[in-house]
Amino acid sequence: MLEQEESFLQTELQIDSAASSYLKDTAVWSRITGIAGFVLSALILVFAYIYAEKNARPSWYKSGGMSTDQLVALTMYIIIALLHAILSYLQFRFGNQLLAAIRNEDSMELNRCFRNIKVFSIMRGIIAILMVLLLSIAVIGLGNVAV
Amino acid sequence: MEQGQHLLSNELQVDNFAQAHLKETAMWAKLLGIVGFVMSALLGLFSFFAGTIFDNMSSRGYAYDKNAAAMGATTITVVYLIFAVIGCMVSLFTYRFAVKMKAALVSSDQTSLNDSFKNLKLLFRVYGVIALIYIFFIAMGLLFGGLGAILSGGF
Repeated sequence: MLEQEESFLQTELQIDSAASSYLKDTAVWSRITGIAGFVLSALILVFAYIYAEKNARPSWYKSGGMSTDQLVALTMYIIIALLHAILSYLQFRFGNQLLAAIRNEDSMELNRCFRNIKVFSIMRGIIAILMVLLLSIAVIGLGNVAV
Repeated sequence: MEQGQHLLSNELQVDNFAQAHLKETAMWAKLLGIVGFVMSALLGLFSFFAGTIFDNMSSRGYAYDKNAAAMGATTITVVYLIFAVIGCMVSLFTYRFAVKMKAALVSSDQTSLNDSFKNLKLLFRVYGVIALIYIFFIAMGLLFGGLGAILSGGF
């Protein structure tokens, strides 16, 4: 029985003092990054609003409203701000849950925080893939124009 | 026996659920690391061609002043190189986190797990510092922009 427990202790991964110290630091920085991310998202939204205000045509103008290009740019600003806010929220929540898990030695909270960082990584991975696709399309488009 | 139980109840365990989450996180982190390396390399490469691109633009009449174009090219090269180096650093930490985590989960190696978390800490530290620097620059821009507008009678 004792041997079984010893082997269990040896094979099971643990959050020991070193890991705990690294994770605490990670949590603190994650919270800071999350808060900074919220501020940046808000600023992007403010810039989007200013952009819309500046480029909106007066109501007496024949076609009214913004041009298609301006609408696309405004939509992009809003999408970027929203994505940034979601990522920042996940980071902030990860930091909070990680600190709580370590402080209270709560394995359920630890699982929740690891699930958070998984979702955060998946979102960033999908964004990276989309960026690479857009970049490839842009490069192919530029190549065609050059030819 | 009691000591074993004491150890079991006191230390946080990375159980099966946590391992599953960490495994998937590592998979995506590896992808992010590789994409980051490629992007950083492309950015670094582009930074060296910025001078040529700006020279072409000025020779075709897109820029007013050749000196200004040359200064712009140098600035863009330096700025893009800095971005490429930071991107490379972030990608390295992400990739190392992923590789060490995968090794830790496959062989139940505590040292690899600790190394992996160490890289995660460095990654989040870099993110935090970048975010703070970014906010500082925006705050400075808003401050000086506002001051400029007030002094020039814009408000």
